[in-house]
Formats: sequence, C-alpha cells, structure tokens
Amino acid sequence: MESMVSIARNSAERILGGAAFLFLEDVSPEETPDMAVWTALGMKLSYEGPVRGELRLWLEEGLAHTLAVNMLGLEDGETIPLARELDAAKEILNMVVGNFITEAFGSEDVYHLGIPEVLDRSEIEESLATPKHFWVDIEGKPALFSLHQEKEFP
Amino acid sequence: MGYTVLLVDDSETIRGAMERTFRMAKLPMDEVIHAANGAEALEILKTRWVDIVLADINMPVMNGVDLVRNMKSNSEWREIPVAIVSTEGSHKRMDELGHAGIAGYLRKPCRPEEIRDLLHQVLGDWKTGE
Repeated sequence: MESMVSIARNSAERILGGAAFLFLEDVSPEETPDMAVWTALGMKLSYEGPVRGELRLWLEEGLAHTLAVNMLGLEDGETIPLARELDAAKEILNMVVGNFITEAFGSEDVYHLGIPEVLDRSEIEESLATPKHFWVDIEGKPALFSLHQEKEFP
Repeated sequence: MGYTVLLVDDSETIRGAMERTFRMAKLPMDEVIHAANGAEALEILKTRWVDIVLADINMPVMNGVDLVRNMKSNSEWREIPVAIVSTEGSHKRMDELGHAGIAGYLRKPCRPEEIRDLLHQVLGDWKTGE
C-alpha cells in the first residue's frame, strides 16, 4: 500500500509540473537546510470529509516568486507584487491538496477544502515533528511539505 | 469573431494562468472578463452578455455551486453555459453539478488542449485563432 507521504509527494510533483512547469527532486537528510537561518514562507490548507486533516507547505524565500512567474508565463526577474506571489503559492497548495485527496481517498466522497492560511515561522517545528513530512528541491531551493491527519495511515 | 468568457475564481493568479492557457491553446477570444466570486459574476451578468462562464467551486462570498443554481433559476441566464474548473475530483460533486445543469467539468491545472476541447464541445462550430 502506497504511503500517504508518497501520495502527497506524487501530487506535489504532478501539480508543480502541470501548473508551474517545475520539476521536483528529492532532498536527502544531509541536504536539508539549517533551521536556524532558513527563511521560508509557510501556509496550510485543511480538508474535511470522511477523513479530516491539513497539508502544510514551506517554501524557501524566492520560491513563491518563481511559482508566480511560471504560472503566469512572465519574464524571470519581472517585479510581481508580494500578494500575487502569495496567491500563487496558495493556489499551488490548493491544487496539491485537491489532487492528494482524490489519490489518497478516492473520488466517491465530497471533501470540503478550507481557505489557505499563512503560517507563523514558529509553526515549522510542528511540521518537522511529524514523521509525515518530506523535503523536495524546486529549482535548487528546498521546500517542505507536512501532512497532519486525525486518522493514522501508513 | 471570438468569444467572450467570464472567468470566476477568487485567485487572481489562476485567472491570469487561465488567460495564458487560452493564448497557448490559440483560442479566439474577444474578451475575458474577471470576477472573484459568484456574487461578482452575477453582477457582471446583469449588464454583460457572455458566451460561457468558467467558474471555480471553492470561493468566498458565493461559491461556484450557488452561482450555477442562481444562473439556472434565472430565465435570462439559464441558457449561458457554465463549466466548472476546480481542484475537486469527487464524483458526487460532479453529479450534483451535472444535475444543476453545468456544461462541463475540468480539474485544475488544466492543459490548453483540455480547455480547447471543452470550449469546442460546449460552444461548437470552432474556429482556431491560427
């Protein structure tokens, strides 16, 4: 049985490729950033159906800009309002969660998605504390995903 | 002559990305009108004719399901095709929207050819912009 983390990683790969033309690479434990100095933008999105939970996403500084540039087909280096970058990152999370739900729980039940919320930097400890987290490399920059569910799955 | 499309999504990025997809698919567009939720879309429809509405489901103020219900219960808007473009993949949700009268359903992120096929299927008599 495929693990929830593996399903979430595949959803992230599918969505980032399809929506932003970006490819993921795995990050080995030795390559994860130093938390003391890592600057990241974090957000979460909850889902509720037969299973309730949330997916959190932490993007290294600059990655939200890359997402917006790629999703909108803009020139690299083009100035984009911060709100637009944040909106792009939230929409990526929204699509990843939508894809993850279908892949993980099937398409019979209706799941209600929440509104993406920005996380405080201090909340990264919770993401790192759950064993259901994974790092990926996007365009040479690390991103962290963590899955928080009320029911235990493999 | 191209089409007038009303894009309804609370994300400005998604609306921009959809416009980019129209260009990539070489779709002949006269105008793409933006609305951030169902309520804004209904306000626009009071004064504008559009060929098709492409709407998200999960939006603040008025979601896509209520937008479809409002349009289908209004004699002036009933015939305007509405297609849903959403992250949701539930069959139950698609059935519910199908019964409400939507013309199509695409999952985000959608590819240019999916958008082109949907518009071709719904609006018919297609002319590419090439």
